[in-house]
Amino acid sequence: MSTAREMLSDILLSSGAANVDVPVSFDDISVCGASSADGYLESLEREFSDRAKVIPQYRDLKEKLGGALFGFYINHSVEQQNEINARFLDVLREFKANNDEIVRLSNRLKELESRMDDNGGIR
Amino acid sequence: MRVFQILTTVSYGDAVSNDCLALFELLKTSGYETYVYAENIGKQAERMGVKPYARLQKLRDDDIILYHLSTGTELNERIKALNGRKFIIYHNTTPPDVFVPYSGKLARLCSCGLDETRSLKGTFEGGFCDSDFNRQQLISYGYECPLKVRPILIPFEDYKKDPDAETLEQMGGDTKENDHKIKNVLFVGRIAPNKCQEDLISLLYAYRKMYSDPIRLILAGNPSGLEKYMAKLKVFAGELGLEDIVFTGQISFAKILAYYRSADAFVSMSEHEGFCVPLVEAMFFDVPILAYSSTAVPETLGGSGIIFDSKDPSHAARCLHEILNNKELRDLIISEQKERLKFFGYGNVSEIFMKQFKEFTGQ
Repeated sequence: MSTAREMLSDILLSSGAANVDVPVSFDDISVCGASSADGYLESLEREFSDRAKVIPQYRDLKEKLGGALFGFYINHSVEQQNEINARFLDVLREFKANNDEIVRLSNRLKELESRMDDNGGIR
Repeated sequence: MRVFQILTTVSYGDAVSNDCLALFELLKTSGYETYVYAENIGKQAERMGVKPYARLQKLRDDDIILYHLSTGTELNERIKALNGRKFIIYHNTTPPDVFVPYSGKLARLCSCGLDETRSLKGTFEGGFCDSDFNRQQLISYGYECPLKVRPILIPFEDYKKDPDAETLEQMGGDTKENDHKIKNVLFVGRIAPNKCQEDLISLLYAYRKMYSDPIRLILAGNPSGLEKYMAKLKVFAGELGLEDIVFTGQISFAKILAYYRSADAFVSMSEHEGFCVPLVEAMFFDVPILAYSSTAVPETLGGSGIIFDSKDPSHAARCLHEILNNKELRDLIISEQKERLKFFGYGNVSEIFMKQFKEFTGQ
């Protein structure tokens, strides 16, 4: 008795369906173009929101001892990074808010343009 | 002797975590004093007794450490300094190159993971590998300790739970009880470039050009961290006029069960798998499998399912059309998959693991 793979192989020898070309290549699609169309700003916002909340912690005995001696510097550095990420998050949110406004105004402009007649008046 | 499993993340639902929790139960019922410690712990895992790594108790020289390695993490360095007899459970790390255009963070994690795996080559007394593919990879990294192959331990009892009724209805009901007007073609796995969901979209395009019977593509997987890739997939599908693809996003276990129960075929185009649990899940739900032959996929299928070597969408569409419409072929595939599934049975894999564990530890 033949296996399923052998059976299919035999069937395909007599299969008549013609080949199809896929007209678009996945590699030709720009990551940036696709990203701006689908919530990339939201994912960036989430990532920096997480980064702004990193908790300084000591991990093993060696680091605990290091922390006891130099803890101020270790924590200070993490807190500085968090502060930078929090500021970046503010900038990102401002950019996102402006971006939404730009999209809204562009749509309004297109709508008005479509209502213009040949002499520049509103139909 | 105590047995400690250590890993970076335990979150109920992913394959590595499920394997770890299933081993935890197995070791406990086999009479061992056993613990799981992780850096990141999901709520359900916490309820099951997983403890934070930061509170790891002092280890003795005769303690056994089972270290799950699947990504880059600081734990890969810290594990070297721990007391105890150390064994690696290797789940493989995705090649970082595929992530570069989409996530610098994931590319870095995987790159570190590979470097750290190499740097750990002299750390372990022995290793458990999910597949021979994983074992060969460790050998290529210079591991000289004994390495044994044992499949991931899958608690199939969980799969007998009730599926999400609404999703099941939306997909046309359980395949065993309904002849679907629109056939459901399913892939389960994270939305990630190594899984090559774009090739499934190309397959759908080819199928619809070549045949008239309606099919629906369901991509069940979490895109978290790879939103750019997900966005590109949607634009690609849109350019091909395939706006009806179901992207489920992160979903509950009950919904995953519903998608499996309503699937007419499981198709994988993945180019990197260290084991591929969804193949075994498809076997469990009697869903015929069509898969691109790469990495550990042929090994997990073990001669069952249909595999192909070339990513020609037209060829894959021909195979899929036969699987969906030729009852004799379909029944034969399912019967071969049932036979293969026996190997992954909880009892069999438990026995393999415990035998290897005792050979390694002598206890």
